[in-house]
Order: sequence, then C-alpha cells, then structure tokens
Amino acid sequence: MTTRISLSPPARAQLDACVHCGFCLPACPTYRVLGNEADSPRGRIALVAGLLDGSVQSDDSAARLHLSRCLDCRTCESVCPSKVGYGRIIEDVRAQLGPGDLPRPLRWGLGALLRRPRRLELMRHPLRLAHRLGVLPAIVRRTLGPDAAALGAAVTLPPASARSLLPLSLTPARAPRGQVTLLLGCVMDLVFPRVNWATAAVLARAGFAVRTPRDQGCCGALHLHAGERARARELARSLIDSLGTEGPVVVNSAGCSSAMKGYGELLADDPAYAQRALRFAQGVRDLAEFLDPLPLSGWRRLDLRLTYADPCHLAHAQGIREAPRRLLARAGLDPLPLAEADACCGAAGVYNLVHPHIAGGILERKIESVRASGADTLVTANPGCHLQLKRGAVRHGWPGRVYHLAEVLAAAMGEAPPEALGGGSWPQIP
Amino acid sequence: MAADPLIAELLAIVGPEGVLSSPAELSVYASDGNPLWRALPRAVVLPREHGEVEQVMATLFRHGVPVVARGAGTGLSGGALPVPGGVIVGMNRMNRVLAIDPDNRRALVESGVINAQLSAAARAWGLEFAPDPSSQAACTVGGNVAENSGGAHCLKYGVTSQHILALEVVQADGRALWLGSPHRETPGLDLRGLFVGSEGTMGVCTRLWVRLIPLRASVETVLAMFDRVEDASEAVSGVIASGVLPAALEMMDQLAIAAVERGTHPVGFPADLGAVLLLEVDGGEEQCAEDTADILAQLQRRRPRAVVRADRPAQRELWWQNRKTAFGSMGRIAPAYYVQDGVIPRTALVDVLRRVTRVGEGAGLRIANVFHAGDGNLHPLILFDPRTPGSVERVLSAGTEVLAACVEAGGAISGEHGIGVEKREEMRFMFSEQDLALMDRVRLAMDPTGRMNPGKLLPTPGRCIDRPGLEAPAAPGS
Ligand SMILES: Cc1cc2nc3c(=O)[nH]c(=O)nc-3n(C[C@H](O)[C@H](O)[C@H](O)COP(=O)(O)OP(=O)(O)OC[C@H]3O[C@@H](n4cnc5c(N)ncnc54)[C@H](O)[C@@H]3O)c2cc1C
Ligand code: SF4
Ligand code: SF4
Repeated sequence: MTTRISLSPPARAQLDACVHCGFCLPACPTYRVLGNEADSPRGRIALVAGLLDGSVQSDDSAARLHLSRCLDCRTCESVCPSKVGYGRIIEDVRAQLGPGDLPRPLRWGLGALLRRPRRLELMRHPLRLAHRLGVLPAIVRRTLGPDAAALGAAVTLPPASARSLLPLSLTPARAPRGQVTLLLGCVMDLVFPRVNWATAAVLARAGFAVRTPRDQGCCGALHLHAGERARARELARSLIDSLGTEGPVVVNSAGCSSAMKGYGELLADDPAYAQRALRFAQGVRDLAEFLDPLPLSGWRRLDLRLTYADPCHLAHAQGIREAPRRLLARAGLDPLPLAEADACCGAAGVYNLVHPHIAGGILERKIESVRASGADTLVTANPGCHLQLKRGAVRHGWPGRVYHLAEVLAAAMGEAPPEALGGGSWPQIP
Repeated sequence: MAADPLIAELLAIVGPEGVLSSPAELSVYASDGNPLWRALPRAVVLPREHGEVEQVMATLFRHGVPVVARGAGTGLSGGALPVPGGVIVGMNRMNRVLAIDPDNRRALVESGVINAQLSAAARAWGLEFAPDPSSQAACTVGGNVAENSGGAHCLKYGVTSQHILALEVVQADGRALWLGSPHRETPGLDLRGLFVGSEGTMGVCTRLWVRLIPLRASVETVLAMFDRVEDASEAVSGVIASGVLPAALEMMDQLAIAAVERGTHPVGFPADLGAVLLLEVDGGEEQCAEDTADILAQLQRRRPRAVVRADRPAQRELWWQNRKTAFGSMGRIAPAYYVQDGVIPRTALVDVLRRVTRVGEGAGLRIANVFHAGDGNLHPLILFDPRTPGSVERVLSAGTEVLAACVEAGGAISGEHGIGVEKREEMRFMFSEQDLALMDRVRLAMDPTGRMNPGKLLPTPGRCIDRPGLEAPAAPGS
C-alpha cells in the first residue's frame, strides 16, 4: 500500500540543507561495499526527496531496500560540509515506512521483549540452558539464519545481570564528590553485565556514589532506528520517570547515550514531558565524556597492546573521539593507530541479522585493519559493536580479545568482577 | 522483471547487483554535483573490471544506446547528467590501486579510484598524486581526467593532464586501446592529451598510469585576514609580482567565510572580515624560509588585519579542510547554490569582483566568492532557493553575465569544472564556428556514431536535454 511520506519540520530542514556535493559517498560503509549510489547518503536523501514529492512510491521495493540498508551509523554526518543531520531524516522516514523487511522473529523480539526489558532478563536462564544443551544454535539458525547463529556462538550469556548484583546505591570509599545515575541498558545487562559492573566500579573509584534504579527499562534507541518512533517515545517517558532528572545519567552504551541526548526533541510535542525530557537530555553523559575531565588515580600497569575502534554513535553522532583515547593513555595504554578507526563495524542494532551479506563485507574490512594494527586487544564502547567485533574475531580468525572501555579502565584500577558475571577473560595485571 | 532485453543482457554480464533499472534507483542518478539539471537514464550499469566494460559497451553499441560514463558524480557542469534513453556506466566499483612503482614514481590504477585514496596509498612510499581538487575526498581519478581538473596546488604543480602518463580507453563499440605510454613521451599525435578534458565524449577510461610526485620536504602555510576584499586582491598581485611561485594561493570573501564557519571545520574567523587568503609555499628548507619571508613582506604592505603562520600540521590541515569544504558548506547559509568557474587575468581581479557584486545586486541574489586566486580562477557561488518561482532562470542568467564579464576581461569560461551541458552555449563566447566545427570533427573521429555523452561539451543545434525545472521525460523502456 502506498502512503504519502512527509517529514517533520526539523527533518525537512536537514533535507533542504543538502547541496548534493557528494562528499559523503566514500565515508558511507554501505556505499563502500556496494559501490551503488542508491546505497549512499546522497542517494538515500534523493530517494527521500522522491518519496516526498511523490515521484517515488512508498511501496517501491527498490526504494525500501536501499533505505533499509542504511546502518544509521551517522558517518555521513561527520563528513558533511553542510552538516546535514541525516539521522533525523532517516528516522522520520523509517517511522512512516515501518519496520519493513525485519524477519518476523526479530520483529517479535523487538516488539515483545524490548517493550518490557525485564522480560529479557526472564529469558536469561532458558537461553543459557538451551545453549548448554546445544538446541539454541539450531533454533537460531532455523529462524534467523547462519549469521545469527555465528553471533550466538561468539558469546555465551553470563549467569547473572549487574542489575541483580549491584547495590541500589554504591558508595565510594571516601566521602563522595557527587552522585550519578547509571543506565544499565537492555542488551548490555543481558550480554555484558560485567561492563555495567566495571562502569559502576570506575565511577566509584572516581569518587561518585552510583545509583542504579531497579525499575529502569530500555532507552528506545533500537526502536528509533527501526522506525518504531511511537514505541521509542513510550520507553523514553518511562525511563525519564525511573531515572529522574536530577543529575548526571552516565551511559556506557554509545547507542543509548546518543538516543537519550535526543529525548528533548523526541518528546518536544508532548506537553506533559517536553520540559523534563529536555532537562533529562542535558544531564546525559557518555561514560568516556564524563570521566575525561575528572582526576583519576591508582593506575596499575596492564600488559596490553591495544587499539580503539570508535563506535559510530560515539564518534559520528556525538563527536566524542578523543576522550576514550585520552583515558586509555592515562591508564598507560596509549592506543596503537588503527586505520579507519571510526569506520562502522556493521553491527548497527539488528542490521547484521537483516543484511548479513553487507554487514559481513564491512566487518571483514574492520577486522583486517585491526589485524594490521598489531594490537592484541581491541577496545570499544558500545554493546552492539562489542558483539559484532567478537563475532568478527571468531569468524576471521583474529586471535585478540575485545573489551569495553570500562572493563579496561576498571582492570587498570585493579578491580576484578565477581564470578557470577561470567568467567573467561579479564584484562589481567601481570 | 527484465522485460527489457537490453537489461537482461546487461544482467548476464555484470550480475544482479551491477544493473539498476527501477525508477527509484534511476532517480538517484538523475544529476551530478549540480542538481539544477535532471534527467533519468534508461539504466545504470556498475562493472567490476575492464573486461566487463568491454562487454557492456559492445552490448550497448549493438542496441544503439547512448552512453554516459560516471565517476563520483561530483562534477559541477552536468557532465555526468544522463541523456534520455541513455545508459550510465558507473565506474565506482572499479576503485583499486593496482600497482605503485616508487622507483619510477608512477602508479597503475582503475579509473574509479578516489583521488584522496590514491594519494593515501602513495604516501606509504613517500609519494602523492598532485592534482587536489577540493572534492578530492570523493571524486574519482577518471572524473579528474575527463574534466582535466585542477586544485589548490595546481598553481605550482599543474593540472591533471600533466600527471597522466597513459590511459586505457574502451571506445563506444567495445574495443579497447591504450593512449600514451607509461614509459616516456610517445611520438605521433598526443591522443592521451586529447582524451584528457574530453568529458566522456571519446570513450570510457578503465585503467590508467598516473605520475606521482615526492611528498614535499618543507611546507609553510600562511593565513592572511583582510578588512577589505580589494586589499586581499592587491596582496595576491603583490605576491605573484614579487617572483615567488606559491604552491597554493586561495581566497574567500565574507559570505564564503560565513558558510565555512558554520560548517564542519570552522577556523574561528571573525564575522566581519572582508576576505581571507590562504597561501602555501614548499620546497627545500632554505627556499621555503626565503619565500615565506617575501610573502609575509608583501602581505604586510596591504594592511592585513592579521597574518598567521601554521605552527603545527594539525593547524594547516584544519585551514585546508575549512577551505576545501567551502562549496559543500553553502547549505548552511542557503538552500542551493550555483557555482561559476571563470578565469581572469589576475590583474583584473578587483574589477571583475566589482562586476560580480553588481550582477548579484541587479538580480537580487547573494553571491559568495571562493577562488584559486593564484591562477585567477574565480568561483562565484550564486545562492538561491529553488522553490522560489523564477529563481533558477534568474540564477542562470546571472551566471552567464558573470562569464561574459570574465571573457571581456580577457579570461575564459571554465578553469576546471568543464563545459558539460552547462556551458555548451557559452562556448560561442570564446570560439568561432570554424573552431567548433573542427572540435566536432575530432570528436567524431574518436566516436564516429556520436553516442558517447552526446549533447555535452560542444554546442549542438537544438537541445535534447531540458533546462531546469522541466524534468526530461522518462526514457523509453524505463
Ligand atoms: C564541493 C565541490 C568542490 C569541487 N572542487 C573542485 C576543484 O577544486 N577543482 C576542480 O577541478 N573541480 C572541482 N569540483 C568538480 C568535480 O569534483 C571535478 O570535476 C571532478 O574531477 C569530477 O570527478 P567525478 O568522479 O565526480 O566525475 P563525474 O562528475 O562523475 O563525471 C565528470 C565527467 O567525467 C566523465 N567521466 C567520469 N569518469 C569517466 C571515465 N572513467 N571515463 C570517461 N569519462 C569519465 C563523465 O562522463 C563526466 O562528463 C568540485 C566539485 C564539488 C561538488
Ligand atoms: S555531504 Fe552533505 S551536502 Fe554533500 S551530498 Fe552528502 S549530505 Fe548532501
Ligand atoms: S547513516 Fe551510515 S549507512 Fe546510513 S547513509 Fe549515513 S553513512 Fe551510510
């Protein structure tokens, strides 16, 4: 069925700022793999312009395909001389085109599970059991294809969440210099609870009391990227309710911090929430951004040759590039240079499950540059990238380890996580 | 599906990812870097290697279909604009550096390689590809060849033509040949030189040998800010007259500064500056220091508000990024721009600038000016809103007036952006009927059936592509 697509005024302003210069083409990961302008930022903007003036129909399968192939990685925004806010455009359009070609199990997953993130937590034990019995990979392969199965093989769910282990409020050893609220996230706490634990530990070492309200849910970033704007708004409202607007909310997942900084705009037309959403958004800090200006001490030497890969939603969407690198350097772990460090790894939410072929090409290029860097450890700052890079390491035979920035910083401060958050590798003090 | 037999044949050669034929996909290729002109192609083909280009061209030849080669589509004169019923051959998937020969300072590349990526690859050997159009992060070397593109540093190092050794070209009928030689100057007619700047009218270039130059040993970059554009213009003349040959000498006026300062790489220029000059000298350390001293002395004589030398590479890099994103940042101050590309004798700079201002005032349009001041290559950017009725016509006629002023001052109608569809008619300002007829005969010698990028470069009786606003009718079969 064709629906007439329209853009909200802020998105329309972004579209109008595009002068068709083409500078964004070589920066776009999908264009680099496919070499087709319909899969470039300028091309997608042209498709949207066509949808707006009616020269392209909303049920045109080619238009839908090329728009759905966008990773929403925002690399194009970083390089655009006219600062076209492309993400704003694509999210508006996706909200109207709907989730499109998401495989049914995924749509169900997004809809049912993430709507109530605690349901995700209820799935932990059944999933772990199925994994142990070896039935999970078979089910995943049947419903979502071999790539999702490979993803499953690269990670095992730890037995517990940080939500269940962290105290409601963690207090530092000395008198606190302030209080922060920690976002636990949905994917993060299911798959990488250790990162949440490490984040809390580092914040406490930096002198902050860390609040982790238990009833917090999902931030809605995945829904926003998948075009489920209404659901994203619902989630934003309830997250604001549970975390409150008093003060810094520290976020260790770049995708979430980026989305939460946009709450002001997301809820601008909701009279009950507009003001609070704006205040909330102003208090959101990505972990690296928050720690960067603080004095930190008590470093121990870790014996790692590491490099750092920028998550798109940190570098391109928030312009945070140097803070993570400076923090690693302060820990005595100056990152080795990495070619195309800010190029997308192809994770992009559930993208790798929907477009495995393209994501595979993007990922391979990433792992090859990591290999060429000579590092034995790869650091990132977002759970989607973390999973994808782990999978890439397995698939392309790169023998190194992948960590979140918080894990490396916590280890370099001499902290070690409880057993229940999963055994396996932890950056060791030699 | 592929009811069109031509599409089916193309699919058999390049595979399903290599042929685009749905209306939505075709609309993406409707214009190049100048969206004033739009036309839909019948199909877009994206070959992956030379052999596929030969087969594709032979197939198109049998079907009697016109062909438009396309690189990154950053051209500003409509060179890669589709011709109705024609097929676009996009070179973007042929983007590899095939060999670097550091001893002989040359490289073999596919024509779809991106200019900046070639230089990045060469840098590992202490070399680079000299032509550096502002669009170098995106444009292809094949497009540079077809337009004979210039760039800031071409003032000292010469435009693209000087850096091309040999070209492999697939002609309209699918047969391939090499023009020029990777080794040395070749005797006989310089067909390589003829192809460079021919804007896709003589065949599709698939692979080429390019010259590389050593990285510059010593570089000094200077930024000079002026209250008045006239003082900056005089400073340009002063620098050149002093006998120094800068590697680059660029200028931006107040409105251009306003745009770049709102863009991705702001330098922090005061909003009330009249103009800024960006100069670079390079060479041996001693020479470089001497030239810099001369330049600084010249600049000081023209009442600058401030003169700054870059004290670290990151600063120089920022200044260049700022300058190179000037066109692209116009979206920050206007919904659209139309850039002209006139060349004038440097001595006429002040006068021509005044005329440009008057043209803008007469037409009620704002004009920002960016130039390669060192070689007198003027880029007035006429700002407008395409949704205002009649604006496009006003902009085009203002553009023509600007070009006429350049020619009257003893200059030319294009420095580096080519003629394309945009300035075909203005060719008559510069060339007699006899000149144009000779060009047409040479072109037909290279492409006897006239199917390579028809309607571009040379004025033709009657138009086959519509002027802006009137989209060309959909091609038969699409
Ligand atoms: C913001 C901006 C700044 C710019 N700055 C400069 C500048 O400083 N200096 C400058 O000179 N230009 C500049 N340009 C213009 C443009 O970038 C150049 O003309 C560039 O060389 C075009 O390359 P392309 O790959 O985009 O070619 P396209 O635009 O795709 O094509 C240009 C022409 O080349 C032909 N062509 C392309 N590839 C081939 C091939 N393989 N074989 C045969 N014909 C081919 C096409 O048919 C067309 O006629 C700028 C453009 C923009 C948008
Ligand atoms: S770089 Fe920006 S202005 Fe240029 S084509 Fe891309 S989105 Fe448009
Ligand atoms: S968001 Fe990423 S994938 Fe999408 S158009 Fe921009 S650069 Fe390409």
